[in-house]
Amino acid sequence: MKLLLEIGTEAIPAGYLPRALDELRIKAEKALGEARLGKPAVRTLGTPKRLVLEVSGLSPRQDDVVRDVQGPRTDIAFRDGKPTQAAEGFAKKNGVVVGELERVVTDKGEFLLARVQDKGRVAPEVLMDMLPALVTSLSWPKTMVWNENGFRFPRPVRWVLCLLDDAVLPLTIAGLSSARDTQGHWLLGPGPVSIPHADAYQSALNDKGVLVDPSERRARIEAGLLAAATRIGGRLVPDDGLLDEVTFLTEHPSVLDGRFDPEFLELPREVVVTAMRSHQRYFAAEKDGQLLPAFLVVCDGEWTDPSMVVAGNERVLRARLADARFYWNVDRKKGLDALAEALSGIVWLEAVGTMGEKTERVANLVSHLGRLWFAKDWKELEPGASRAARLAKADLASEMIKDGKEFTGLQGVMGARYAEAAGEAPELARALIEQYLPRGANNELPETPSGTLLAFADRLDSVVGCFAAGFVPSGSQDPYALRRAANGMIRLLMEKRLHISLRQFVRYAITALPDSVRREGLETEILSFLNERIAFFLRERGMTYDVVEAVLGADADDPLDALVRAEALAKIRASEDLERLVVGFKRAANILKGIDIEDLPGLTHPDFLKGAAPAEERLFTSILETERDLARARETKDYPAMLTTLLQLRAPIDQFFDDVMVMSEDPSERRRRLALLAAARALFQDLFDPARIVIEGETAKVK
Amino acid sequence: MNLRPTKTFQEMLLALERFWADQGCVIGQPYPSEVGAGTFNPATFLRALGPEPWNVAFVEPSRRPKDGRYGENPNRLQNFYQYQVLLKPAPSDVLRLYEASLEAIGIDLRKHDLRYVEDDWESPTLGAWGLGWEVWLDGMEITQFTYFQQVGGIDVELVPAEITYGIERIGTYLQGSNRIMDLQISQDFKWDQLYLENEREWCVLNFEEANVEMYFRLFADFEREAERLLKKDLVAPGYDYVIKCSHAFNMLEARGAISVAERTGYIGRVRRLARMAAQAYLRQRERLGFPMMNDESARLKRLETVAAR
Repeated sequence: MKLLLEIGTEAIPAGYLPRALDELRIKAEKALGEARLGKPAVRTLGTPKRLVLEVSGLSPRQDDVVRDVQGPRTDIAFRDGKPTQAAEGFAKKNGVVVGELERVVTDKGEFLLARVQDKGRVAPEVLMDMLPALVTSLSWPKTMVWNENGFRFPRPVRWVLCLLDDAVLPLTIAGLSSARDTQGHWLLGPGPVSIPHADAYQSALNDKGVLVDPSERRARIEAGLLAAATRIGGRLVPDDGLLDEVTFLTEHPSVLDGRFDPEFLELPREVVVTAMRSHQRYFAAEKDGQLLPAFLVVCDGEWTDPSMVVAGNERVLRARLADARFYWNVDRKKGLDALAEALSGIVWLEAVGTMGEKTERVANLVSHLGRLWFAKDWKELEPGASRAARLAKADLASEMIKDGKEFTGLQGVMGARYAEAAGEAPELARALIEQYLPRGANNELPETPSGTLLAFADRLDSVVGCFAAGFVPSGSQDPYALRRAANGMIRLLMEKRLHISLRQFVRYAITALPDSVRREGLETEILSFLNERIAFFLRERGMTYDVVEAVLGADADDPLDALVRAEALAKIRASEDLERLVVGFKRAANILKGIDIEDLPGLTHPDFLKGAAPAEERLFTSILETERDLARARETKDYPAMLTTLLQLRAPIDQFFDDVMVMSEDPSERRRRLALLAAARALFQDLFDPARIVIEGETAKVK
Repeated sequence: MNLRPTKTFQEMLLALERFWADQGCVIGQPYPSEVGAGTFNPATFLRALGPEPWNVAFVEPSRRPKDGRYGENPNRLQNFYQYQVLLKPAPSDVLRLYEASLEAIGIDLRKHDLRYVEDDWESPTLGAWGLGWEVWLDGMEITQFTYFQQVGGIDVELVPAEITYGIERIGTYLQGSNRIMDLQISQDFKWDQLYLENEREWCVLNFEEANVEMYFRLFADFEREAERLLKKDLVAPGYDYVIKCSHAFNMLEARGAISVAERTGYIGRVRRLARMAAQAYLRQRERLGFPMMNDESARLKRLETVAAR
């Protein structure tokens, strides 16, 4: 049998539909999987005005099944060989007589067992129960009520069609009774359409102008776009996101092409494409890499004479492009320097000050970071970088961005285009765009030195400024997207291989804030926030939790350094030597708890080893050798070598614990042994914190 | 049906009035004080609440001081017109009715691409929101269509459909021009002849001359007065001061006298008043026994729930 359910609605937002259709399919598959109606095939279809569930290959009735139900213990069920009330009641409840009951032995004793026949129900009955609940269970970004029924859906439901083969399956959804009527396309086949059989649904609607299958509409749009692009002598500028959207904005898509005045092509390409795309949902076409003065619009319908539709769309686009050109001219006339000056009139954060002040702070950070990261090249780079820093946010004061509408998303890009138009260096224009990179976890990084510096400095200032103003991210609250900003900072450091002292720069950025902001505890708060972001980065790189904790627990001031240490540690993480070393270390740490290290004798004292056992002497020698080797490897920051060196300690420490008793009765013996352990522990110091390494079977002891 | 495009702006308005009057709407009038949109008119804001059915249509001259461009931008005015329809409860064929109203002003829908594009409307000042669409005609937004869900912070009892036509846009489109200034208002006059100088002068007031100190004072006075009157259940006069308060805020914003951070605070103050007005209105209707409910048994039942509370 074939089931067809269609929920007819007023236009549901395009963005809601793909997920809703997936959800409907998955939930229907799950419900049918448990319904014993054969092995039916489920498909969902839909347009903005209808959600459709199609199930084919349904059995007309559920299979009968036999179910075992366990009853009372036999010693309670029978007295003197006669059934008690317990047995009678159990049999009755399960629709059998006592004589039909069987027995089953479990480890809790012998029990009665009823073999219950579950008669399968007919498909319509099962589906009538299942479908309304299925529709109600769909989750949506936003829902509404539209009448006294109180049913919630993203837009009003206006009809329900439900057929099982050729019969109406009677059910009620959103207060509406199902029927065999649907509605044709509003323009091409308006009015009700009666569907004789579930099989006929798709073709009947097709005759009335509705393409219910999204993939069919998508293909039709793609073909239409390609044909239209060819017609106007160019190539389509592909845009998959837009294609998805228009697929769910139409029931019968067709592609028309319109023109605009070629004069508008003097505008930056991004501006023209944004004017077409963001509000109007038009596609662009190009030839030899140049935009054509034309657009492709996906309409809902078909017209023998589409001239009015085309003319209307041309008119709207002309007005938008005219707005953009007005802004473009006004902004260029003003110039980036004047716009940058206007930043002192734009508040960034009430407590921290204007965009102008932010610009100054960022420029300062750029010059410090530049010296650190580009060393001898900095002299040459400095003029360009400092100009880029000065102009970085100028476009925020431009009419194009200030308008607050579709062009706002072009910040950075507009700065670059104004810079180019004013004859600034291409490198500078590039940096103005790159300051916003990376935009996300997998997004590209800046390439120019100025772009890299700006990208880091701007984010650092934002994090510090927002923390000072009290906008600290917590849980799902992060209104200034500081986590993303900090993730960007860490990625820049790690992937561009840049060293830094976070503490020093955070402190510096705090000093630059206005005197009025709170400073108490700020540095610690920000560093611990950044620390979380480093940990996040390392874990995303596949480092285990304990390696990350151990490395950052030792030192997190220079994230790149932490990354190198973490990579080295991860490599030997599984080795037995490391595990044994860590066990020894933890033992040492336990013993050293509450001991004043300063008070212990120094290893350099000539008499230190006087009276020492061979195991102590061996550990002593090993500590000195390790210290020497570590120092050598540290010069080249060769962390793998440093960790291998540390592993030398493993055998001497093991032997030490095996052979001597640390907490000896003799005070001088005890103090010597404690001093040795303290010295061994100190060797790990800035490499990793062994206490955080989790050893199997020992988890509970580790904090 | 007449599918000849209406020739003048006023003929278009008359056709809309005729159409909605035939649908049983009260043909309302503009509110005699400055409002930012037809939604502020008590015929919309207050009457959207409660259990009484209500159908109304009216022209609302809307004032948005900061949207003015001294009459230089062909599509932006500080004083423009909305044609506002409120159907409460929304009939199930409300979209068909709306489409028929477009045909009534001479738009032959068979020749156009009419689209309902998601747009969820919200007025933080009025504590009101709803779901609906911008209606597009050949890519141009001509109407805002909203099913109200909350008004004055209160859930609506009968869901109304609010239809707000951007009539200058529709008019210029029908007349085949690109600028509001060229809109043929009557047989004899165009928009610029009647209103352009006014528009310029208002922009001078809004952006340059408005007395900031006075408007700050007015805002505070109106706010106090609104609260005082609403506490005495004087709903219409009390709400009138809410409207005046909102306009004082709009003037201050146009003059750039309110910073971004302060803005939220002022909007919150107006919203609080709007909520008080909405609550006072509902008390008033209860007190009067919901006289506009046409179903007597439903009315009595509704009154019982009031008494039970």
